[in-house]
Amino acid sequence: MLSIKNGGFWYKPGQEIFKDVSFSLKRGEILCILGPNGIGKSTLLKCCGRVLPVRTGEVCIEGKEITKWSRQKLAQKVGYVPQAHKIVFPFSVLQLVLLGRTPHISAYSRPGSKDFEIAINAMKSVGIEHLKDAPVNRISGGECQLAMIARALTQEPNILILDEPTNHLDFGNQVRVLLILDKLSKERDISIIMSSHYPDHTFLLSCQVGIMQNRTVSLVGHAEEVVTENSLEDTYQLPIGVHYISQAHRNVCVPSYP
Amino acid sequence: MGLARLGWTNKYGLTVGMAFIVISPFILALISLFIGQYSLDPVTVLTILFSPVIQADPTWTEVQANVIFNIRIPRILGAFLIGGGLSIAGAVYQSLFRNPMVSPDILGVSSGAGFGAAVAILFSLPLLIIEGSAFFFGLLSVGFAMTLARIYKGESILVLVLSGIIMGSFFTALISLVKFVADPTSKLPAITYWLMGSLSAVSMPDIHFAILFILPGSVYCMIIGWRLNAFSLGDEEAGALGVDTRRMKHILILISTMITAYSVCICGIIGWIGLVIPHLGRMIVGPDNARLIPASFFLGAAYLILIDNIARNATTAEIPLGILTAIVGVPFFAYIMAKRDVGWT
Repeated sequence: MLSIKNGGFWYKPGQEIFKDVSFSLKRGEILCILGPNGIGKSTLLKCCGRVLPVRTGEVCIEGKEITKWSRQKLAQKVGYVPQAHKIVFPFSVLQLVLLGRTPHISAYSRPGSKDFEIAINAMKSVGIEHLKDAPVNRISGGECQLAMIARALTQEPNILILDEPTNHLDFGNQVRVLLILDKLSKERDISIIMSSHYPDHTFLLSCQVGIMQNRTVSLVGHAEEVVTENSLEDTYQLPIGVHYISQAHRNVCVPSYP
Repeated sequence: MGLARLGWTNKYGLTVGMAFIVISPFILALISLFIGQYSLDPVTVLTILFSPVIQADPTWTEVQANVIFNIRIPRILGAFLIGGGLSIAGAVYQSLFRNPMVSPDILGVSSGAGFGAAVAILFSLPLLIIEGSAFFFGLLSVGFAMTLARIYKGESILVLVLSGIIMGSFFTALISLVKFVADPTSKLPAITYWLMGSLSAVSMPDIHFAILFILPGSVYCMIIGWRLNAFSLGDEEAGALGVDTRRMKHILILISTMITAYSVCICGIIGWIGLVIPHLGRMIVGPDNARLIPASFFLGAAYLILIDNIARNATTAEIPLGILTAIVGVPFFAYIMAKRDVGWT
């Protein structure tokens, strides 16, 4: 579905953000990128969605190099949800979600009733249908995040790229968003690549994990294999215990607190 | 009450509101035909107006016909096109730059055009050259601003706006320089008056060019209104939604610059409209550009026709438009803002 081979990126030559990044993602699979602040997770995700160009190597979507896709065709395949949203004008949530139809509508046209239906369904699937008429700058950060996910779904993509989708969310909503993503990958076969600051989330999703450190993605594999005490200590420079909790039937990460 | 109650939320209400907005400049234009310094009774005005279509015996004088065809009609058409054009340019820039404080001259077009005109007036050049010079320097200023932004290697909005402010300041300083060296008894008042804006010199050929420079761009902006909404998410996300942001930005800047430069070149600098009319539109029809851009055009047209009527009728001497748009507009806008929940905080 999506693969990156020897990908590298820099803003200034000689100051690489990352290099030699290779991984691939199958249909319906979730890949979660872990790594400390400022390591380049967002940059890597942007390169995967062609928001930024890779300087070395190549990114392929469905086997075709990403730069060979037309903008519009690519936007019909790949939905991108960035980290921070600052929308100045008081668009309603529905109008915001409708923007996801952009790649399916000609520049000189407007969304029709079919587009509205798709947008409403996307809002239903993330549970924010009741916010339809609320202005986006009056809803909470968490609701906004859900609206952005709904907008990406309205694109009807095969691949979703989400930059820290659980950011700014309360404890319950974090889990709810993960559940939504899990459902999307399983029921609609959408491949998801996301970044996170919570290694626990990888156990919840039981997904593929890539750990970013030393200017590359050093480890890729299933959560149970990759997220270990050793790798977490390496990544976050702090002793972190990974314990199996039988009541929850999964591993949890417990940082040590001296 | 009043506007405050027009919380058009349902579709039907919105359509009625939109229809009202679209019709308003035409009604105002018709009324404007009947009023002016040279008094004409409505019947005469109508007979003169329809004289080219119905063959009637001329019951009016040559002067009267001249007032209608060569003074009032060009002025009203000028106010219509320029008011509408500047408002569209403002609405487009506010969406494009994701900033409600932006007006059409943010990239320095007005200062550039003002300088072009001031220099031409200083050298006593004919009106056509003054207009041409204003248009040229308006485009030049924006061209410089965009080149500057490119030198800074900034694709970002902030760099572009900053470059525009730099060029605007530069040409404002040059205007001051021209004023400083101008003859204070004849040239200086001419330049000052010209910069304050007036539609009094608008003639029919100006209108032909205005139709050429303002109308196609305005129509284009109305058609791509919905797509412009994608810019509210930011350039990166608009790009991720399949919008060719760079190309679209360039086209829209070119259109807005042409509109504003041509406005300044036939009627001087008219501020305020391009900033405030889009806000008024947003309060009435909401932020969706598919509606906001047409609404801004017709609201702006109505507003400038109204203001121009005051400019030419309130006192025996013409009041410059730049002064009136703000003096009449500020209290009006302040009132509406207090009455209505604007929601862009």
